[in-house]
Amino acid sequence: MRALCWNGVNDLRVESVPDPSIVNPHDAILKVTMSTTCGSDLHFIDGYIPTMRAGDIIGHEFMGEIVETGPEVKRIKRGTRVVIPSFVCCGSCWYCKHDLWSLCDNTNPNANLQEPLLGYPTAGIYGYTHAFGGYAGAHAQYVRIPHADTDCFEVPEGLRDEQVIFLSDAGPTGYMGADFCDIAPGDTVAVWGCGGVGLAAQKAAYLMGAGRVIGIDRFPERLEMARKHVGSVTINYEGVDSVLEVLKDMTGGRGPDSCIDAVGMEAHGTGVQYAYDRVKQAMRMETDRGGALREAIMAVRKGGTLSILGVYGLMDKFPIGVIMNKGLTVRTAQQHGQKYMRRMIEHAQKGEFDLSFLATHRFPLEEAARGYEMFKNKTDQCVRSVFLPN
Amino acid sequence: MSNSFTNGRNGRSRAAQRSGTTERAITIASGALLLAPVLRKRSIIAWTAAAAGGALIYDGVSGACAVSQKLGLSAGSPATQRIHQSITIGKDAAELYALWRNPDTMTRLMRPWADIDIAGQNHIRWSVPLPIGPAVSGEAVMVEERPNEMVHWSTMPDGGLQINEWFHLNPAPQNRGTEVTLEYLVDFSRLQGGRTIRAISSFFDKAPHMVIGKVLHNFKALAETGEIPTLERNSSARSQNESQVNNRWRGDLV
Ligand SMILES: NC(=O)c1ccc[n+]([C@@H]2O[C@H](COP(=O)([O-])OP(=O)(O)OC[C@H]3O[C@@H](n4cnc5c(N)ncnc54)[C@H](O)[C@@H]3O)[C@@H](O)[C@H]2O)c1
Ligand SMILES: [Zn+2]
Ligand SMILES: [Zn+2]
Repeated sequence: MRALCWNGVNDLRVESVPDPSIVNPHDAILKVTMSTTCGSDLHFIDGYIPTMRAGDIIGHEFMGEIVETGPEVKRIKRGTRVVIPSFVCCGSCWYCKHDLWSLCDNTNPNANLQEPLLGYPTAGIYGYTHAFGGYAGAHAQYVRIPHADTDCFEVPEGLRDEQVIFLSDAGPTGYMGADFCDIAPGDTVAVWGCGGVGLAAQKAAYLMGAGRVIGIDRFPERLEMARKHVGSVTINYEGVDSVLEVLKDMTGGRGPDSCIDAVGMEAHGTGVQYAYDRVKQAMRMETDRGGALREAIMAVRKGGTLSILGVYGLMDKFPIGVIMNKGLTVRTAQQHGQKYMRRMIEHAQKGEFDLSFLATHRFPLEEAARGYEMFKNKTDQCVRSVFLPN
Repeated sequence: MSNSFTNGRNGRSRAAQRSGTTERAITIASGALLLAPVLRKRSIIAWTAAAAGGALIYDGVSGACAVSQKLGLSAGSPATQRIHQSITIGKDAAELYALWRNPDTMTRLMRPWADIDIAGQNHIRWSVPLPIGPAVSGEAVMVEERPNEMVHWSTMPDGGLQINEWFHLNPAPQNRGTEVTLEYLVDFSRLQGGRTIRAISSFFDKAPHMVIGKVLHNFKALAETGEIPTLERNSSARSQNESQVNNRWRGDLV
């Protein structure tokens, strides 16, 4: 089959690779109808996340049709159209049973590679480094899906692929980020980043009762999406002296009740701290440029909630004292997609959580490298590239 | 999980000699460098480098001790080593005991490292293939068992490498199932000889650390889900032609 492979920093190529097959009894084989790019992929494409190996198939946000099932797969049938969260989860361990799906104990084949880095290993992810399991990814014609009965969610009639694809990763990440905020009716929620994850978080915050959602970014087309498709108020951080002061002005000096970081380790910024982070990151002395996160920590009101969705590695100069003295609640996780999927599908059916507007560019799989290039550089106002592998 | 071990030769706990951050970073980096060629080549030199590389990476991430001590090629390996690690599994002791005692389970759990031949309910033959020369092999017998509590296996003394393995079960609190502890006592003192043998013994010096965690994780997955997570036949554009041995070790030596 054909698949998009990582070959080194900024070196993606579509190549011929072996077809996947059923290996374990709970496996299924999925024929991919649509897959999409994620900001998380940029972190290893740019070389900031280790344990990639040349030849790895990337991609973790996807959907398709089941074409084969293993002997222990009972619920999901051949021919079913399904969407699949990006984390591989067993459904049987303590973490899965407590709705902490991305922390599943039983799906990372490289658990002992990851354990020294985190203390305890997490679940595996499709197409996302060997520390996270080394599983072949989803920008391919076919993917092996372990624990298919737990991880495949049937797509109801009447929803197009574009309306469903983002429920695999960007959607649940944003939804979880809003859920973390325990939003009281009328709350103000500020979201750093208007990429797929940030826009999904903004939409979910309104669904959960926020009175006002503020989206922060610098790309006019993304800010426009936040206003038009979500109803957010927006701040272009390049057009203001201080995001903190603007947020104070907008909230009578109180600050937002919750702040969501949907930017992550490659935050863009201005000023001395940004220059310092860039140099250290370039020298691999720290993995992260954390400008957006530091700003969110300052901006959130006293006693408020900081919800971190952006992916981070190691960061120094982290203002823990601000978190401590302001009595903040910090909540964060890799997305627990299986927890939210049914709720999100219902919202999608009612038209309340339709993220199809994110799919700004479509490509056949053969052009996936170009799709990533455009996604990374925001060429032609690209927000998400989607691929059609079959 | 806890993972500690003592060095039988000098009697000190190596955990007490944890190395500093800088040294650790260097250790991880040079370990990775040593490993790089073996992912492509299949020569004895590459393999020996890989053994040392795996060891260095291990020591780097665990911060266990000094680089100089680690290569151990001139100093020789420590005479004995005792390590243990625990994992909590959401099943009761009787079920886990039965699964552990199933001969098929041992074969599956050891498959990444060794071929196991079942010679009887309490007797196995094991062999670890090497890239060159004959496999390292031997026999092992069950020494003691207490149903739903403990099993003790030991390799036969003629094997050159003496390994004792204890498997313990204890109830976990809050209905979390059972705490499973695996313990190894490895005696290297009979492994002496030329440069290759010393390299191999230095490799086996590290092997228990790599094996113990993986055996526990895989046993838990098997008990809780009925399968072991795997990258077998994983679609990828590379690494299809690695040698059997390198494939076997790949999960730990990425
Ligand atoms: N927790 C999870 O499970 C999970 C899942 C998916 C993605 N993520 C992470 O979420 C983050 C966002 O993902 P995405 O797919 O939306 O990425 P994206 O690259 O599409 O969007 C990131 C956005 O952040 C904006 N940005 C950069 N610096 C900023 C700053 N200082 N202030 C405000 N905005 C800034 C960029 O302009 C861009 O629009 C990434 O770090 C990604 O790794 C986490
Ligand atoms: Zn993602
Ligand atoms: Zn699980």
